[in-house]
Amino acid sequence: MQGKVNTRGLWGTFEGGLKFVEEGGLRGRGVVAAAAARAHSLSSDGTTTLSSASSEQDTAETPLSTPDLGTLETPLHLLFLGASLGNFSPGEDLAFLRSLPLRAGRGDTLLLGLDHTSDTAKIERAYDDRAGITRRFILNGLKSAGRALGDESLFAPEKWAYVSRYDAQERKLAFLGYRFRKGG
Amino acid sequence: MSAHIIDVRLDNKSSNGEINVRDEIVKGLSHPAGQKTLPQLLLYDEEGLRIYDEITTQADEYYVFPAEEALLKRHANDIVHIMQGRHENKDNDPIEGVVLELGAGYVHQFQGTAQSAPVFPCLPFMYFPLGCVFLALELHALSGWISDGTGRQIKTTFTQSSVFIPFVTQTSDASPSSHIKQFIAQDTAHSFCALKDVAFTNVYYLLCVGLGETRAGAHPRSTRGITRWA
Repeated sequence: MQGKVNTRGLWGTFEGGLKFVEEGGLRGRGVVAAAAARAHSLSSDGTTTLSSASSEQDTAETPLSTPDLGTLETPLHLLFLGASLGNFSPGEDLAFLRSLPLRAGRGDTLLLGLDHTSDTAKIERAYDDRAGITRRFILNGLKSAGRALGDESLFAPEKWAYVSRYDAQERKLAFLGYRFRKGG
Repeated sequence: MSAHIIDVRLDNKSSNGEINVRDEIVKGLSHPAGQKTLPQLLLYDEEGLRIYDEITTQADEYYVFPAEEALLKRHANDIVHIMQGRHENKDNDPIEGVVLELGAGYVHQFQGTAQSAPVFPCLPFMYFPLGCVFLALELHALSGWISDGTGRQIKTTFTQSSVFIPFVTQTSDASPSSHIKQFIAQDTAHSFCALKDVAFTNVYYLLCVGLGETRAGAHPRSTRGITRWA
């Protein structure tokens, strides 16, 4: 596989990534033309620094301004795995699929991972593993929420219960419950 | 191979969830009891991404990841056949392509050897994992898009609890440049109905949609060795 697959990471939301594609960001990124991208190297704290070594290639490889995905010469193969489509609400999911920059007649493909598990107990267990990893994952979101509001300890974990509850009717999975103190 | 990360974040910071997350938190918590939400974005900070990695590798109960991994391995050749499309009958003619994975997770520590890449051993692909953060703190375990609204039955063989359904489209030559929005809206909308109408239960599956090839000499092909409908 060496030399056959080149890899670049894209950093951003779906919206940003798909816009990048639609504006021709993938142009010239086939194997032959695959040199360094307009590379940003990420420092360990997650901030972005422009790699000085890439500045010249930056000029050469920055997509032209024509917002035309049609200029991508090679087929585009989108992978959307992990049943992530399930994160969308009904209606939004179809809208998202429709928004994908895939071109009919150009050999593009879409690979979707989809989950149709209907076993409630299995689903709830999947998000409440014995080792408590998912629990930590979700509770970390509370810390993150507090941080966003200016105080990391705002949502004190001890006041929250972790639950993994699947609503088969609504096909929704809910996490977290707030513990109300008795007697105020 | 060195890792390169391309920053594709938008200029509009709210689109990246960078400034309006506070509003989203307040809004989500203002919902009536039982309907309160927090933005899913909050889960994917540095620590969250690290823990998520643990979930996929260490949480045995999280069936989604191994189910998908098994399918990718088992059907790697099927998938590649569909991706190769028009080239499948040519003599080992390698084609270039761009593989873009939506939501590849921890790009901050991206090392240039993406997990999905080995699935495509024979194609000189450019692989783009797109690390994303998105949406609300809920998940619909069921997502489905592949029933046949025209009354045709899906004929495919189920093995164990997994199934791979290649879906090779027969796009009309009239719309070589149309995007999937037209593709879904016109050509094959009937095939993208909600899966709840189909009697699949307890399966994890991969759906591979090939959007066809309408260049000169191209015509719809069967895909060897795998069940196919459409």
